[in-house]
Amino acid sequence: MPEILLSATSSDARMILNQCGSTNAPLFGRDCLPTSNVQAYNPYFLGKEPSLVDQTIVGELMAGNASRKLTELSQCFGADQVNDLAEFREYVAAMGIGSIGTTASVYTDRTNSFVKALDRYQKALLSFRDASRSGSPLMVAKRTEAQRAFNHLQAQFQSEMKIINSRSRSRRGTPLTRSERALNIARSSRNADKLYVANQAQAHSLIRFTRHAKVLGNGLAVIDFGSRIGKVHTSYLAGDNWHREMFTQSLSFATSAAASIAAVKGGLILLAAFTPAGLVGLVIAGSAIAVGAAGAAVVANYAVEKHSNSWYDDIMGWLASL
Amino acid sequence: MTFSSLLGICVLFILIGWFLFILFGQITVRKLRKNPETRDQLGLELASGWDIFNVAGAMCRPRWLSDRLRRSPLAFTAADERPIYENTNWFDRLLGRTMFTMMMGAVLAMMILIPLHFTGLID
Repeated sequence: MPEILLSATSSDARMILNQCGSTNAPLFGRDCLPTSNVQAYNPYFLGKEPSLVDQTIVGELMAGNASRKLTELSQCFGADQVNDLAEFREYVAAMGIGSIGTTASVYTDRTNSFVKALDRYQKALLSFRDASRSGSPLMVAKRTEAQRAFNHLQAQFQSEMKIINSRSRSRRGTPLTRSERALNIARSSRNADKLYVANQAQAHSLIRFTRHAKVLGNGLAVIDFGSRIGKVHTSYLAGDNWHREMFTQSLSFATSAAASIAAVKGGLILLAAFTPAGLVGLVIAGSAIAVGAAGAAVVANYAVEKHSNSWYDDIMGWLASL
Repeated sequence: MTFSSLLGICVLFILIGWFLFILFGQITVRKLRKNPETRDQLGLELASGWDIFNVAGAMCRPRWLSDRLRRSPLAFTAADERPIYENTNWFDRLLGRTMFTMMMGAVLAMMILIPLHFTGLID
């Protein structure tokens, strides 16, 4: 994992490094040669000689003025948090656009309103930063506004905040765990901030999983139901007792659906309450749960299909004897 | 009793459970989905209508399990029972608990019965 340095001002490399607290680490420019000058809003490698992968990362940062925005963002939020926010954006993009079929789900709604709340918090922080820099009399009002936006986030989006904050490494707290920290960072504008570019796969693999699970869940029910109707229709065409076939198929559909839902629900509760598994664990254990649910459904389906013929005959016989 | 009739009783309970599921979804969960206080607390929706099970499950959980669940990073997969308790009446809870225990209990009984049948312990 490369350490990347971003600075808002151009100056001597040693001075900037002093401010960061790392004095004798070498600094590499975009062309991977050691430099002693730092230009504003340009990414630099810190520490070891950059590899090919690191160069691609910096190339992406340079494109489309991304590094300038990143520098400003990390000044406001702190480096750890920018990273986590980026991950979360990925997650939101995947959730919002991808959910075809069952649109307007509770979860999409929730992520949308969470992003709005985060935006409001960020805007409040930025305007507080501006106000405190210019010494505006509105400073106190801006401060309470930021505080209120943070409280709203804490109260309404506990689980999301937990997901984001669980990966933070900061001991002093981050703008998303403590509003005081955010206000301090906003007031005392620091010059440079380290930015950790970590592998972003983890968080959004979970989201891909949930999205696919949802589409798959409804899709499977439709396919399952369709094939059952097909069986009833076949028995009707063949001149069999299609009422009985319909009785069998609808009963076994209801039973196997209940069996698989119970398996998934129980598995999720067990996983969440009795293991330390986080989001990655959900993806791995989720497949185990899915297999268990499918097994339960198949077994239930088999048993019910086999016995429901006799139940149908019993019921019909009982009705006839009335 | 034969395996066939025991299984039939389980299936009957599951059918009644599905009936209550629809009632519970229309009466209680629809109300909770519209309420801005609870709308965001209904847990992960794996398939549409899954939140109905989440709410019913949250009503059935003992407090120690809820506390334990809340500390997990996967807490967002289940519904939060506190706002749900505040926004439901005794009838909603009765409906949800009956539905959930009926379904889960019947499935559990079925999952015990079927292996017993296959190993030849009951016929």
